[in-house]
Amino acid sequence: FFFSSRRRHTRCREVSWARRWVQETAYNATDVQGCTNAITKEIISKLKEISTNFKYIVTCAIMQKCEGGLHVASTCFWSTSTDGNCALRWENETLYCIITVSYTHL
Amino acid sequence: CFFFSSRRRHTRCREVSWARRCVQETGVHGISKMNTFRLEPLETERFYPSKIKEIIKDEVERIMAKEKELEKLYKDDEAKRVAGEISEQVRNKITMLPRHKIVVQTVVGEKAGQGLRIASKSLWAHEFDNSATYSYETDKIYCVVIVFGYYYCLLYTSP
Repeated sequence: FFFSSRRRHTRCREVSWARRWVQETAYNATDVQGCTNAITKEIISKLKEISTNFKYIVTCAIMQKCEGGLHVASTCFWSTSTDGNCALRWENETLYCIITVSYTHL
Repeated sequence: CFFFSSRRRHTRCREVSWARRCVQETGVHGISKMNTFRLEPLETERFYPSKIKEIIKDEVERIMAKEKELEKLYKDDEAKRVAGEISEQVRNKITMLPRHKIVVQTVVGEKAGQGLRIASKSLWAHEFDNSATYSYETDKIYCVVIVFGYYYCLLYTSP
């Protein structure tokens, strides 16, 4: 229950581990669907190993690099002592990847 | 302490049971940690994606109707403000569901011929928890709102 501070650290570690899926790939409209599914699935299974006492939500957005801008905002209604979230932003030459993980205690 | 207030001793026969009154008196927006002896949310208090989607649609269209400049030309700080505003307004409308925790994510971006894919996976109780999405676009910008709602249940504990 009192893992809150530990959670942020472990979670960001798991999420940054998922970077390897996009390490050397260029943005490809056919592949990206499988890519996002695989990333979120792996993160969820790793989070489940850490603790089953939490509910998790993992969102992954992959965008092709172009001139356009992008903003991601999120709000929540939960208990700040037991719940939280973590966001990670990553890029390579052809794409941006934004991963957010929210966890709530049961 | 609520349980031993003097008012309680005076109540004898009531149509509504004492347990029910405890829940009613703490109110919908006050998070009541009292045991309601319910294993799942009531039918009227569930997170129904179709209903939530309509709420999101009304809010997004109301806010975007005010933002005429943004619809014509994407500007960085305006988009940031609008994304935050949409998230907050949508969340405020949905907190009427009691014993539910809400997460709202908004993505506002500029259309420049790029590809975009947003995916999400969750580990939750699929009978009570759900998500709703709505996307809005014009010639120059797009806006995607995702709302997750999960039932806040004290009975699920791991050994």
